[in-house]
Amino acid sequence: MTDAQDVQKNVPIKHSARGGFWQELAISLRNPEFWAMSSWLDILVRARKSRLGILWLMAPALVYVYGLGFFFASMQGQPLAKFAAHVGLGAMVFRTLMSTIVGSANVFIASQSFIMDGHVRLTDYLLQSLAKSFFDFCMYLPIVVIALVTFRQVDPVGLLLAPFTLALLYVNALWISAVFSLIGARFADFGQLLSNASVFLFLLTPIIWYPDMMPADSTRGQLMRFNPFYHFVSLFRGPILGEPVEPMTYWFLGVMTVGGLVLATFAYRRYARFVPLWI
Amino acid sequence: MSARIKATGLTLDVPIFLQREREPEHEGKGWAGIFRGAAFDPPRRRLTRLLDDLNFDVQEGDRLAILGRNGAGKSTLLRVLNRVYQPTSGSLQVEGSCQALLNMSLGFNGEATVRENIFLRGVAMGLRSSFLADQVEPILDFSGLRAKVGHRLRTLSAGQKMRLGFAISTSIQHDIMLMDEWVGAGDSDFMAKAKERMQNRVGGSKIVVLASHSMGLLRDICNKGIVLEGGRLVYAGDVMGSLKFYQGLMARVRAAGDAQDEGVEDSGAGAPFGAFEEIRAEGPGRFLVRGWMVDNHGVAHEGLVLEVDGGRYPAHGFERVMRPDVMRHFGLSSDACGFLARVDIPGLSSLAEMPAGLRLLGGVDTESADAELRIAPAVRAAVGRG
Repeated sequence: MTDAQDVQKNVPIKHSARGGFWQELAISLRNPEFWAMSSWLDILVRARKSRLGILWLMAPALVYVYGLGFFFASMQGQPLAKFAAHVGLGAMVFRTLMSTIVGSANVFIASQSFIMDGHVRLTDYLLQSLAKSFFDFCMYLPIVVIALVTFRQVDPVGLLLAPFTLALLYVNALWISAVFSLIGARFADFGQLLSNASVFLFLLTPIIWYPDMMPADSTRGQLMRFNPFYHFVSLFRGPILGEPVEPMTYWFLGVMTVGGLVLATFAYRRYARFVPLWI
Repeated sequence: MSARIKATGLTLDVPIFLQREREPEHEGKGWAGIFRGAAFDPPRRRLTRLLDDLNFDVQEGDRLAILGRNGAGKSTLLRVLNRVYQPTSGSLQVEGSCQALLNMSLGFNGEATVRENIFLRGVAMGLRSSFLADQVEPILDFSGLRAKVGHRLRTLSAGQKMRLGFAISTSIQHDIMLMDEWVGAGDSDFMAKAKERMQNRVGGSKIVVLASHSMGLLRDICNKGIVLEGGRLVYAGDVMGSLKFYQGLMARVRAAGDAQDEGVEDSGAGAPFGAFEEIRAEGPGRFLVRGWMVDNHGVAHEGLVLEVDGGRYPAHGFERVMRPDVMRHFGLSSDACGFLARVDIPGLSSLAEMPAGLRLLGGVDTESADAELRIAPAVRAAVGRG
């Protein structure tokens, strides 16, 4: 028998007792192999089933930006180049966040066999769903770049800000996935609920329309401003396209980021140990 | 680093969901009522105590047998030891790297290739991919799936998946090994390899924890044992004492009315083990076989079949033989487990004509006998010389 396996130094000390959210997150980030590989495999596998392969993954972006974009641009009497850039950036941010949320609500259930096999550092699975949504984000990039190039009035300073906004977006995605994955593990129908809500949220977010159609003092305007997606989308898109960003957006996102991280820390500490029992 | 498992007051409460039992008279007859109930009754949530105040200490070098009826908490305890379930109260200390061989066909990505899955499972076990790169070849060799390396995993048969899972899970040596029943299924060629690998791994482990119903296996491997009943630790000691206690427990359960107790029925009661120790020719076409046989609950059965060249020859003239040696070895409650029986095989006049590939199968009766008894060297030497 070819036993090269008694290499004790390669034998990891696998699961130490469970730590807090940040501690486990730090370990997960230092040991990216599992979550990076499993999310990459999931993506590859999705593409592999089809003949067009990875090109299929770009199809949603194309449909949103130039399909929906074309239709609603002519309906609202907007020039396509301007409207396509508006839709492209909006849809990109929305999809990234929404796929994190829907994905994380199901991530523990989908990873059941690994969890039950003793791989219980749950932050690995959170990062896995973040990595997958980041890939979706990247799949939007080519189409969005085309839309921005044809628009030709891109603010370079806004473009420089975009990576920082993206980082903020992912800090939020992190706590959202931590909280929502725990809820999703406890209540199996939560993922269903979220995917149903996503259509409504998409239409409630100014992606295929302009926020100035909803003044702040109207009921609809307030409903829009209660929608976190509105703030994320407008913070990311506004500086690039030279659209105004309301001061309320900064406050909203600031409070949400801090509050969410605190919530995630406590929720994870309190409930993570129940996840194997729930799924 | 030394290995140790120490549990103090280990307790696990688990929420379970119950479907309300409906009164039959309020319900429509037949399946319609069942389905209506399933659709409109929300499940109720209730806490159940699966493990109750367990205390034990496993030192380096120990091989611990976990005995108990179905549902006594054996698998749950293994999951707690593997750190999947966190104890509700009490403490658990596990020192040393730990590998569980619990469900090896799971944890794959069905659409990914065999090679990709080796990496996926490997990193899920906490191995480095650089280390795994050298392991891929041995794993492929061992599982006999070299020709399938680029195939998608879902195209593999259940047996092939099991082989792959086994090869990956056992590819490195850990300090502590947790097992729920002895693993290994598949064709006889793979079984032989798997057995050797398992013996190596068990031998190389500092601690082995094995939950099983198979007395022969536990007696072979373990030196210590605990018996669980309803989540409580009812016995702890050496493996002999544990087996004896467990059999006493099973005997009391049977006496109390075995019809209600599904634990007796489906936990391998029909899986006897034993030894085929001697074969003699008694005359033309008549052979005498001697040995002992007992099932996992300590019950001796009388169904014996000699399989020669694929033909089944039922035994008759069954005689009980007292075997105090076997009783002592397995901690049985009775020594009436030996047998002496006759088998007629027309056309064979002497042992020398008997082909070497003979098997003696045991069971509740001659129709259902399918458990192979271990063949003693004396039997092997006696046959197949012609």
